[in-house]
Amino acid sequence: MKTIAKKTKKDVQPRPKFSVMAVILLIGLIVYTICLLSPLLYGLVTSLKTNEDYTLNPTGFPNPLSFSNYATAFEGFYVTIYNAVGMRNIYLERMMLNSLLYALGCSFMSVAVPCLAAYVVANYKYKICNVIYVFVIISIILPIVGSLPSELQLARALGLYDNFFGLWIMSGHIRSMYFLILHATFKAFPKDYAEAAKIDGGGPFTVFFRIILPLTKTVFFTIMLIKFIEFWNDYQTALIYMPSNPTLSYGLYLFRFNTNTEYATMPMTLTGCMIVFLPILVIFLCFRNRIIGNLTIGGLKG
Amino acid sequence: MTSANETGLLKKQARAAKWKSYVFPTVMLAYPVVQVLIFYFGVNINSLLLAFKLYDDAGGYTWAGFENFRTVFYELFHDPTFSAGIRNSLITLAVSVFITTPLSTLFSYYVYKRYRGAEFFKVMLVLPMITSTLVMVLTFTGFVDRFLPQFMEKHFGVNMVNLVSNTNTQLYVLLFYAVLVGFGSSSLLYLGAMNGISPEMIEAGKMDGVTPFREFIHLVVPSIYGTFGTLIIVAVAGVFTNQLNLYSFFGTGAQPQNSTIGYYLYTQTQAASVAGYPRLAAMGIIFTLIVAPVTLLVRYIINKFDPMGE
Repeated sequence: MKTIAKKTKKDVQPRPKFSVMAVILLIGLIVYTICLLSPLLYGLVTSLKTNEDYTLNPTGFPNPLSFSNYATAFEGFYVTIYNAVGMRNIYLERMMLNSLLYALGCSFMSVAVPCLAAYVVANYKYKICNVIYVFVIISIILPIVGSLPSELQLARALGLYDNFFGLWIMSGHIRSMYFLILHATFKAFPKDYAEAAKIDGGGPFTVFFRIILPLTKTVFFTIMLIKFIEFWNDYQTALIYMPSNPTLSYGLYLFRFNTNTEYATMPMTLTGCMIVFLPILVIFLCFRNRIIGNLTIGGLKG
Repeated sequence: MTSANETGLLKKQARAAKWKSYVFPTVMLAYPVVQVLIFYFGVNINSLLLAFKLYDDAGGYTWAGFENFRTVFYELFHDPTFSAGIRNSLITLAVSVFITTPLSTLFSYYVYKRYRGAEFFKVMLVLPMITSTLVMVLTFTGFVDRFLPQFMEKHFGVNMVNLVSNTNTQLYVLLFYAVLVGFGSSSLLYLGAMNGISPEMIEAGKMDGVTPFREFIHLVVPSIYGTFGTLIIVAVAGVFTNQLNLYSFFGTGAQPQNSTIGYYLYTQTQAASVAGYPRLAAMGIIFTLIVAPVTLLVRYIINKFDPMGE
């Protein structure tokens, strides 16, 4: 029986035979992988070299293998910030905390806000619901160039400039593909659960927060994960809107142009890169299937 | 009398219930709608108004009519940075449409068909998406500008130029880099679309003896036309905001001849004081007025030629 089952499974999804086209594509993909991985491996190998080793042996493997850059990073990987209060050095621990605050807060807001709106738009038949849906699609398609100065001016006027709270508020918007994904999720959700809760006397808030949201937490969590990675890696938003609170990525940007300290060396800069990269790599490897699966679904909806 | 009272009471209750039914959607939509009003409509209306103002330290912002637009139009036709920016933005778009898109589609097809190593390559295609742009750029620059020349000289005795630093090769390297990291998101989106293709259709093709190449051209490409169209529209819409990773590579110090409009606008905004905002707002409006109708036209054309449309 087992053999039959195995055979059937194999029959359903047989690995196709290589054709000329597949071989050409395989070669292309191998070249792509080499081009992609070589710089990252170079970064990892160089981060495991002392500066002396790097100077004497720039192209070889570390000799000896040294993790000292990672230990030194906590005192050497810092950036100097100048603002109205004066000058101060921001060290790695603070940048990590800033990255966490920025990425967690913004990723939560960028899922929670579309989630609230998408649920109503998917389940209620008010005119505003159609207006919101059409607006989201138009705002995604219609490009608006150069609104950054105006946004900055408004952020300053509303007291949202140069603080985490401001970025959390600004990142919680519905103008994204994820609104459409959440909308599709709520639209496809069976109505029976909500009806049963209503019969038991549950109001719309109870239905949404106690029943629907827990049942769709996988979608919520996956989008938040993708947005977390995006915000963790982003440095341009923090650079423009939060210059006094550098995140790890923003700190790395400042550090690469810093030539004043004894720590501004190639191995140290690449150690900084690995410190930014490795936590995300771990998260990705843990949730790989969920992230890739969701992106694929996103493709279908797109 | 009692009946009238009861009717009134019922009407009152019905009205109360109707108002009560508005509470939930109102509470749920309040924040998203206010956010849109302030940070979309507010920002863009403010941008429009800013474009017609000038700033001076004594009087703040004052109306200036079309002064900023005149300045920008003058710069557009006389400042070589702009002509280079527009040219490079268009080249970036062309590379994205004619190189990245076909390659992404083909790579996705390889993964979709589950050829050997498909799972590994799927992860490789995602890697640039999860990696910080800055990390990619710094390791790439170190590898191309430091490792490769030293390696080539040491092992092959070849003197190789620093491809990223060299102004003559810079633009080509940037375009190559854009292709390299550009596969990720689009490949996965194409893969998602391919997974939605009816297996019966592919099976029928196989029974008719269709080769993989013909299967790709005649069955797969028409089936993913929607995703293909969406990504082309997004690329066209982003033509004047695409920075070609110049900021990550060079900070504010990129060569003007290699600049794009997206990079120019970002660096100018970052460096500008409140006095510089009106000119940049006017510039943004001009580029929006150019790219918005083009995007809508491209969308119309793509929809018109949709093979699955009818």
